[in-house]
Amino acid sequence: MRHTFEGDDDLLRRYLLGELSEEETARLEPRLLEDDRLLEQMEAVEGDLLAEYAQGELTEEQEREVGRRLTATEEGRARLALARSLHRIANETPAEQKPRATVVPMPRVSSRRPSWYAPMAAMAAALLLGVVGLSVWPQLQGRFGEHPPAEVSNNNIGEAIIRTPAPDPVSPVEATPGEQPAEPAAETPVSTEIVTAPEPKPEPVGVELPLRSGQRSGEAQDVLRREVPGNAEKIEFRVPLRDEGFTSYKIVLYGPDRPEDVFPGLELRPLASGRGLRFQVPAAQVSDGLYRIEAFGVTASGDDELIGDQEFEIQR
Amino acid sequence: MSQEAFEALLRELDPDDRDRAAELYLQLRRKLIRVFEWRGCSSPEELVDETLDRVGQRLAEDVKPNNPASYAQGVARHIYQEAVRREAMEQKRLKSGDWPPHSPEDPEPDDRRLEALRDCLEKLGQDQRRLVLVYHQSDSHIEHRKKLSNELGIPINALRIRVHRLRRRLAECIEARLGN
Repeated sequence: MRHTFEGDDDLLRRYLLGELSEEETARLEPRLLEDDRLLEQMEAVEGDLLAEYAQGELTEEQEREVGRRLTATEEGRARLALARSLHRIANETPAEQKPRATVVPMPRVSSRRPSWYAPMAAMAAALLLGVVGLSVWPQLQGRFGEHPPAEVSNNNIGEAIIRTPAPDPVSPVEATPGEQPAEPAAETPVSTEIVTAPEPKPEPVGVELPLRSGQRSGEAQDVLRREVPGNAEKIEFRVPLRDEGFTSYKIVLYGPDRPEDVFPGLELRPLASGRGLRFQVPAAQVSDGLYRIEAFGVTASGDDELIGDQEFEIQR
Repeated sequence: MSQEAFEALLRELDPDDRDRAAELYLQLRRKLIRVFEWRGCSSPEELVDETLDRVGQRLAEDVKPNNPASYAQGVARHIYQEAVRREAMEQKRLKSGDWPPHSPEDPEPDDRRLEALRDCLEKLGQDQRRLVLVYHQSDSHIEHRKKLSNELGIPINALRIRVHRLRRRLAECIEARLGN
């Protein structure tokens, strides 16, 4: 299942405005039935259009289409009434009540089962390499920001496991001056599993994967090219992420052309900086080709939100 | 829908778990309603019932689609086109208006709804309340959203989804308050 970005928003907006050809519509509508995320995104775009309609921001033709398509039912008219009400109340609200950039208090580590991203099998055209929950972001910075990070891993049934860190030969890319030796975490959450045994760590080849934030409008996507030495044993993908106040994170990696090629037991770890995550895969199992990574934040209510994506090409 | 057609549809959705099949049936029905709405149909539920009935009948006749959802969407498209033609003929006879007829109601929020919304907004967290209000504050929404997404440092589509979920919660809260 391919997830949606701003380019899709344009498509969805054009659909709601009746600007798509019948052929484009015929391609889009089955996707709406198959992809819950896309359907939700359509509803979000619909809400925006209704807000614009309510404020007279649309052209005459767009207004006619929105009126015809989105307010033909009682439910549609209720959505429009909500948009109007929100605008009315919002403009009564003092201007100083602007939302702040997300400031997240330090939560406890949660060992609850993450709400895994569960793509419908029929839609899994892409190779799902791994869906891994990463526990609370601020914990990464707050608890481990100055120490080797605790390992937050997937135990293959979706349960986050917190392990105390082994002496971690932080790779050169992540090493920062003044890093302190590991200390046991000061706060051990209830029902998390503490594993003190160090584990062997192969020297991986690092691959940085900065994500695109998704603010694009259908332009051609720049593909990162990453060369991996032929003798590499492991590849460590490093994904910088910003703190956006999510309770956990997920990574979905789509492979190029071999949908049967699944990496079991993929583990996520926080970067030493606390500002991202990393995961390793055996290099021998990473073929040349185009990959796509998507990162999701999980909200307190269990919903996934797309944070960003990136297409990248591996060359050996 | 005949019992036979309904059972065939449930079997197609999940042959092993009837409860799961029923859940998938309701999901499919809800999604089809939304698609018919977005096509501008004023009675989407009737058209969805017709669609699912026809899909169920075909399945009961041993048609084996690769993907039930896509198959249902194909049937829905035919039903829609039939409805457009049917309605166009009726309109032609009546010699008036476009199809589907646009509702004469252009809803202004009444006081009860406004008060319900105020109460429901109070139930949101402070940041959520601020977000949804600021999002709707401007008279120039498109530019305003871009600016807001920059200020918050999140992609505009993530912002849109976040606000949409809040609107959905508010809508549910309002309907509950109004006893609908």
